[in-house]
Amino acid sequence: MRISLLGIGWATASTLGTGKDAGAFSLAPGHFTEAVTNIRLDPPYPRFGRMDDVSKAALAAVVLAMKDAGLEKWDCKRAIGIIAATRTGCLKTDMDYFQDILSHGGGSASPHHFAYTLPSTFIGDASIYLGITGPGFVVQEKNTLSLTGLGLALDTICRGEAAHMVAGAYDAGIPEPLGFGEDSKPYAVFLVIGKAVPGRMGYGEIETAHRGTVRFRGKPIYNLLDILRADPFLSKKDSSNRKGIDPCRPGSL
Amino acid sequence: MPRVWVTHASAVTALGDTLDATWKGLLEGKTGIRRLRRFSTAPYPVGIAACIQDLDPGDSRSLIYDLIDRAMQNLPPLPKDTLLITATTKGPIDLMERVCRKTETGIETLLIPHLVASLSRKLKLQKSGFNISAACASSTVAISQACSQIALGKAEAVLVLCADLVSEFTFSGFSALQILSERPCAPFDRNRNGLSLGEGAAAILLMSPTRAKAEGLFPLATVCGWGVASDAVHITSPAKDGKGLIQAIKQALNIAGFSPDAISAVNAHGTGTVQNDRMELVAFHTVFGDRRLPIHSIKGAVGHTLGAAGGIEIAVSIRALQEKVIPPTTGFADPEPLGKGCIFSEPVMMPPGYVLTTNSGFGGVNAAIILGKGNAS
Repeated sequence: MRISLLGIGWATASTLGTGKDAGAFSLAPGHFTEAVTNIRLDPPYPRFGRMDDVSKAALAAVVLAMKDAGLEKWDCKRAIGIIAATRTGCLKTDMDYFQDILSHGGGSASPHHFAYTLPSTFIGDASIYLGITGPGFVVQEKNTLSLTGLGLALDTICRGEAAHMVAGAYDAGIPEPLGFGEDSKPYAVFLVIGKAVPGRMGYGEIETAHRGTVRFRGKPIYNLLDILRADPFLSKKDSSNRKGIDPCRPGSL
Repeated sequence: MPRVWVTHASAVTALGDTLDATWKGLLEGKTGIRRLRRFSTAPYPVGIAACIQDLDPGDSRSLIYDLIDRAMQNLPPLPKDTLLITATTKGPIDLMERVCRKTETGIETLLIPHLVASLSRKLKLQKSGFNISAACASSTVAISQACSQIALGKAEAVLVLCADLVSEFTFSGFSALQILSERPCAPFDRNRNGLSLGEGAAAILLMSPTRAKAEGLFPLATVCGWGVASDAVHITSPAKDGKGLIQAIKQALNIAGFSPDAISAVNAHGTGTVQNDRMELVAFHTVFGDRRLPIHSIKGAVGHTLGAAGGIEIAVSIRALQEKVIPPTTGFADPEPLGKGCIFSEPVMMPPGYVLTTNSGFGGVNAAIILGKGNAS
């Protein structure tokens, strides 16, 4: 089966972007807080302001990827799924939540805060916002940028369980004061894959080859960032009909 | 129909350390939900849960390792190329609590990938594997992915290890959501008023028939179909019309190549919350029409074991297929109107056919598995 890469969305500590901005993608130290503070989803998502930062960043990257693929608008719900890989997941939210319990007593726990102590909760938000009802879950492994989640998404399409899938990874690193080193270069990168969308140029074909090797545009890739770094990632011809936001100015999505 | 064999299934619950003990307790209508002593419940209006009393943290310092070790007892020798998939929502959450209390240091061991890698090393597997987190449907989603990998020929053997602990962390959250029952939960009872938390683990070994035969193993059961779907309605409440669960069940039926008539019993998620149980009955009624097939939940006996629930329930469903008996729904007495003639407080004979087992969770995730009988004695 020929499966196309239809859209890319990403968020880092300071920038957001889509496929056409892939050249601007770079991991930088910091926190998602800076990137997500000024995000305004269009149309608005009432819960967005109450989400934790890592969920906001992951949701924003998914929404950008769906917009990049031309799949953001909907009247009827669609069987599109989301598979997200992560290592640290919502660890900072977990620790903040439990610190509140210790500080104020268990009876003061916030149900809203508790809901975001699952790394998969943002997938529920994305499903609500984008009207998508396919399989949604999180894969937790040491190497978040490995291709496990993408491979499972490709398999889901190959088995006919969804026409399109969103696959990617997010990680906010180790929360302070436990660690703030190389791990804390937060990112959320999501890809939309599936059958080509009429009127939209895809970025190229993704296929699984012998022994699980994944190829993008015919070349083997070994992690998700290889796709963003593919050379040439986008020809001018491919990008001519694409719209994206300024990768350096988070704002209205 | 894809053929995936279950060649081993074990479960550890508050009813006992083996599937035999859990099965016996279920048939006797026992409950493991008791007064909680692991932490002070003074700040909370509810003080019960289904805990395993003698878990030992040992050198690992988290109870989850002992819990999983118990589930792995009596595993057959595993092929080195077995893919390991764990299913847990919070993993070593007790360690994280102690880090917050500053009685523990070190961050790496808090992370679920560390747990997965540790288990993989212990089992001497070639690859590390990964965890699947899908709220209270984690196990069911993990088993569906395991089956998909086998059906596609990408894996020949997959071990799914499912586990979650009772902790103050999760207890406080469910208490804040005001969905903890003051008495042991009563799934599908018209007077139910919430869930009871529990802890437990399961080990489910899945294989292609070819590989199982080569390993000298026989099927306890066959996984015939699986489905996963999202409600896209609410983060912590299920869709009232059950559409996500209906979609997951229909997908499982489609993969199996079955009509709904092939299903002869349902092991439901049945948490005991007003909204969940009503949603499930609406979904089952939509799929199966007026047919009164037996539906049961084990959560009144073992509590809601969160990410482990689906694995434990699949192990119990396999035993139900073998014994041709549906266990009672412990705690249930007076049915919801839609559940009349379907829910039982005593064991009932299972009609010939297949068992559907379902789970749903936060984020609106739903998952369904269809099991058929195997031929292993």
